[in-house]
Amino acid sequence: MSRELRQQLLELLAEVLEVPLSQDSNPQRHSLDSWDSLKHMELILSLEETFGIRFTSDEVASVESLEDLVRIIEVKL
Amino acid sequence: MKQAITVERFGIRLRPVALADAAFIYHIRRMPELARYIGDIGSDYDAHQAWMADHLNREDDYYFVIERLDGKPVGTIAIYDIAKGEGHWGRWIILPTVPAAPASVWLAFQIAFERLGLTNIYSNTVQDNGRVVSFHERCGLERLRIDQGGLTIRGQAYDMVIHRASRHNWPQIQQRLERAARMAQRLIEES
Repeated sequence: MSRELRQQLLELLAEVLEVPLSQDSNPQRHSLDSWDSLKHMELILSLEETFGIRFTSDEVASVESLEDLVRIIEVKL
Repeated sequence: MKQAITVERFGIRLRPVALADAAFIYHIRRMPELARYIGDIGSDYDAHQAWMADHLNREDDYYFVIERLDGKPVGTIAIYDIAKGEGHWGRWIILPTVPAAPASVWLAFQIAFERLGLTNIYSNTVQDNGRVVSFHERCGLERLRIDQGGLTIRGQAYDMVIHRASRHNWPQIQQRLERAARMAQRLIEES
């Protein structure tokens, strides 16, 4: 489950941020300039629409990496 | 005569800074995670208050507190050095846990272009502050040039990226900010 989910999230992240991301990467917000606060909101909105879930404000503020997204979304599915 | 401008949308309000905000602004401008790319500022509180009073008295300077609709301050933003239909915007700083960036820029630009009638507003951003540079360019600001060594912080010179937003491209900027601002509004209102 988490491997498939991770791959799906990686593809969505690359699409929203408009940057190439390799399959074995673990993108981090602090090291990816394109993951700015504008794109962070668009990413969360895309994830909510794609998976039919809702993030809380604390969850949105806590996301610092792809792995954080996997962990949060896995619980909601 | 300087106007007293207050605007609100997307779950936040911009209202004029008052001297009563000195403690909040002193605190937020010195938070380690936010102060990295702010020009040199001292730790003397009296000097901070004098710096604020100076800005509040300037006719060409609009300094705003960004606050939630319940009145809780979450940051600041300013439009300043206004002359001949142009100005600068900056002093943009927001608590890291509050997603008020898209909405605060939307409201500041609305003031600049629709209330003050400016044609262009410029921003100076430390080039190393990559996520803010990215934010500016994603929302449609035009990169004009790089001023090498344009700012010194704690003895180190930093290159500055100069961006321009114009009244002409304000409709496009609005479009790019609104989706994120609406999303952030829900999060701000739920928190």
